[in-house]
Amino acid sequence: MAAAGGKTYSFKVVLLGEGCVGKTSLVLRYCENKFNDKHITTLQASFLTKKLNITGKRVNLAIWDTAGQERFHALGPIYYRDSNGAILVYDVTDEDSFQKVKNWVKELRKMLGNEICLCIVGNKIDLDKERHVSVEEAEGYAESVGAKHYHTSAKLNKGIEELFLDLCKRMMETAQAEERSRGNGASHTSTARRGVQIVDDEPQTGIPAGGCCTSA
Amino acid sequence: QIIPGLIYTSSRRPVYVHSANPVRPLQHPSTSPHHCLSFLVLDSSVMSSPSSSPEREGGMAGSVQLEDLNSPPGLETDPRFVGSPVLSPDSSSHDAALSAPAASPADSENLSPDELELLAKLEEQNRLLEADSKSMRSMSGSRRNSGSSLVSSSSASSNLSHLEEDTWILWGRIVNEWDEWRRKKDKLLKELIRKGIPHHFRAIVWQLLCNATDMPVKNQYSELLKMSSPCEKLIRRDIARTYPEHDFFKGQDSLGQEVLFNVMKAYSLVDREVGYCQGSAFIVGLLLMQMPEEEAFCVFVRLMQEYRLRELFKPSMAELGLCIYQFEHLLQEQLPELNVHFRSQSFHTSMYASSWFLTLFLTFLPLPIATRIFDIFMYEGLEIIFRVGIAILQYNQTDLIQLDMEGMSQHFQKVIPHQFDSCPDKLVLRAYQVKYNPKRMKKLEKEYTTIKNKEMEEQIEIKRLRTENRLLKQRIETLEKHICLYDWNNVPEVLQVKVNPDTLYRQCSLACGMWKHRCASGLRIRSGGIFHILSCNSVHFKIQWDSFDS
Repeated sequence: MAAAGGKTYSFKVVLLGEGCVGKTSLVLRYCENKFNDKHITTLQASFLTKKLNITGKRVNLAIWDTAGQERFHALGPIYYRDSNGAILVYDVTDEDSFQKVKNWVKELRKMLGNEICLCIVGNKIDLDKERHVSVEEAEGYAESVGAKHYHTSAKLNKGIEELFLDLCKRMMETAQAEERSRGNGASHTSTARRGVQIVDDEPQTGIPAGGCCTSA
Repeated sequence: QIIPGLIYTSSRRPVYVHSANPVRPLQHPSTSPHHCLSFLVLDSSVMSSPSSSPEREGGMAGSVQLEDLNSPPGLETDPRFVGSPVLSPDSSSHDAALSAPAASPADSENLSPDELELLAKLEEQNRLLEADSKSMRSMSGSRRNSGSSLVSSSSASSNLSHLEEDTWILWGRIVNEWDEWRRKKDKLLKELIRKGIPHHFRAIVWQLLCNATDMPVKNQYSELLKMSSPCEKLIRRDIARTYPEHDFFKGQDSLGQEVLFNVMKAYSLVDREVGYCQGSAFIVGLLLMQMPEEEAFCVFVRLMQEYRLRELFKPSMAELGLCIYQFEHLLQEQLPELNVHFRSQSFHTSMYASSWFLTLFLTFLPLPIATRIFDIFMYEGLEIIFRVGIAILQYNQTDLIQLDMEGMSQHFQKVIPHQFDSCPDKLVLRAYQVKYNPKRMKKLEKEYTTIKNKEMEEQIEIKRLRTENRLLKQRIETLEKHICLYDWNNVPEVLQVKVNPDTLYRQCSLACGMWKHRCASGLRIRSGGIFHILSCNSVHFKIQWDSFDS
């Protein structure tokens, strides 16, 4: 429940991004402070939680890790539906994975509107020597779509706490703003409140290949 | 007809291999004086990793050596070869394995006492091997994040029951008399498979079960490896994440990773539509633990073609959707309370069952049990996946019902996978107690297809409407430009338009555009008809043309 005082916020966060960019590693590092380079390919979404205390307010995070390959999203948007935040991960050594992030931004904005807090995360900065996505490009892009950009390394445990903490603060702000806009009425759950927005006008051309769940 | 991939074993001692696969190329069957024995030694020192698991070594040691031999086409399956053992006294003599022919049981009756003694020794060794593989089965396979790995087992017992010996002989006979068994004793065969195919027979029995022993595509394999595939990057990303704890696949550039990549790449080239799909590498990986890459490739091609896997792994993953739909209905019918609980927790079926179908439990259960399920899958298809799935939920119902989403998620990841470690038979037995009605499944498939078709039609309709909307908008823009050309201070009361069928629509639109500001409801035109302006706003408009002539 998103409410003031001693109440607790519950947020749903989903990790999305190309296969093998380190989504599972980020979650495992954050929730269990583990790094294992021997985990298997993620084939179905898995779920972990984390409890935080931010400026005296309790926050429960439900974090969904997803399968990376595009075709796995053909079954529908069940994992990112009702998400308060999305972490879009790319691998700094892989230009393609950054392009996939762009597709995800379009998809999420279309399906969830502007209420979802977006983070774009360049992971594997321990491999900075092999970097193929420039910092300026990534940060510039993030700014242009209203997302925050972070650099992380799940291996070296860099930038991950900050990423989730920032995201939580932003989600709290969003929740509080929403609460205010609803007046002082009864509190409401921060999840399960939005319907899917019907977007009237699809972009006319250049629909990102595969960015959408209907792609063949 | 070559049916390779026979018997594989582990351990450093010389290994005696039962000739479960007498169809392996045997030269000069009629001329060799020593009909009953041939040699094959697999020493673990030839392997890349000496501490590797018996099951794994078993798979590849044999395959690699056999491949290296580049043997000529083999003989037809010959029932005479039943039960004749293959022995190797040292590792340098493996050529002999393929040149020394096997013999008929009748021949073995004429053996010298020495030979008989040797034969007895062989049988004893075979039993040890079987014990080895039995002990393997009780160990857990590599699991995600479990940190566990297969440890080399050396717990071979010398006291093997007659039952196990009989199993060995029986399976030797089955393999050799395959066609006959399939024709006449299919029911018994099914029962035996449910009890588990002995480890050393898996390679050959799996190939026989899916009819992959004589496939033309096999000849393309080496050519395919020379080509490059658009999926290579995708495949490579997952190689190190497939059985990462398993010795065979451990380490960059390990043999396991190399052959896994090869097979996945070759497949992506023969089936461009599917290409590569995550999950499939686990199935191929299991095959590679049992047989050489070319054979594994053939079996995988068959599984994709004949076992619904291709549909499962297609880009639309439509078959997975169907399986989930069918499974959900089984759940609803057989475990209604659990189903209600899942729903109340928004625990969607696909959140736990997707991987069951995609990897046939290979990423969910430890390998020894998952391989048992795979045995049955090879004979009975996806049905066993539904059965095991429901059996698992049944077994865990009381626990799951008390858990929330997080608890259930943990239960699925940490508790369930190891519940049956010590008793795989229990799970198989429970799976066969699950009610499964093929007719009902067919009906569900039809339902699902109808739903999907309807969804697709709606999608198409939406797309069509969007396109139309876009075109209309463009037209409005054009028209508004035209309208600017008219003298708006001098619009006639009745607009006379000469109707030209080719430009009718455009003229209507023009008329409409002009008249919309005057809220006209109709206008007369010379050619004998009336435009009824049914509605008109700045976005769109409807006009009806009523001709006086008709």
